[in-house]
Amino acid sequence: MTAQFPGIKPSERSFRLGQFPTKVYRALSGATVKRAFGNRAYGYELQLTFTNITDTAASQLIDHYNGTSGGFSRFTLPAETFAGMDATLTSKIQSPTQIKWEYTSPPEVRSVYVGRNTVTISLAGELDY
Amino acid sequence: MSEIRIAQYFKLTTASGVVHRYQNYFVGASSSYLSESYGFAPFQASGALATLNGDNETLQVLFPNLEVVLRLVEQANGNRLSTLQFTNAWLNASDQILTALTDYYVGIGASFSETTVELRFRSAIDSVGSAFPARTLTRENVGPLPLNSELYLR
Repeated sequence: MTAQFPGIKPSERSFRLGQFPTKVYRALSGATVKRAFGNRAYGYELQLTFTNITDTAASQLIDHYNGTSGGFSRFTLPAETFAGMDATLTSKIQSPTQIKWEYTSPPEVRSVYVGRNTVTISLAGELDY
Repeated sequence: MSEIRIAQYFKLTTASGVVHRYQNYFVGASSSYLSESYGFAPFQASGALATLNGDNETLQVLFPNLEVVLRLVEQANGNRLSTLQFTNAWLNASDQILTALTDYYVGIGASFSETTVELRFRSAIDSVGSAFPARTLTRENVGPLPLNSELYLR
């Protein structure tokens, strides 16, 4: 069982919507035909930056990464991750339909001062059924 | 029409009569086709072909190495005793089926990798092979034989 993602409010958040599974055939004439292979979007992207957080908070983020077997297991995100957004927008980003989050790369920890760190986390939202 | 939506319905019947129904379009949901429910499985199909000689069509269906797929293969004795109804269904923008085409196959085996299971099928009906009837042209039944390859059947 993957541990809950730490309820730490990020100082910066970047989100990219998922895309639908399609392929495009383009004829020599330039005309295109698109084929859809599914009815759900995949490949959402979320980047979180936690600026100047304590060593303890940074440890929590690292522990969570390790708790997912180094990014193997998928998980959900708590409401604190989306602090500052209204409920409508949060619902579209926090848990798109049948999406769970996973790490796309290990967290990056940058020490900026004694006991203070800036942590960057990159996540992908993939279909989980 | 420049937008195509195709759902594929996979209905496999094992030798013991157990039926497995899956579709690959409606993620995480069931879809009904001909009053039967098809659960979601992330498979893909390829390889069907037709030739002038009427050879068997072959079809490969690739599944991820899920426990339910392994069970499906084992129940079909390595996918050698199974029959398959494979349907391509064209959908409209509301995901309603407009047209559907069904092909029928028999299982001829399976192969495994660390992440996938490939089920192999051939079409259920084959053309009569060229070896039937098995006759050979000899001097006794057709008379003198040509010395070159210029042979005409009239």
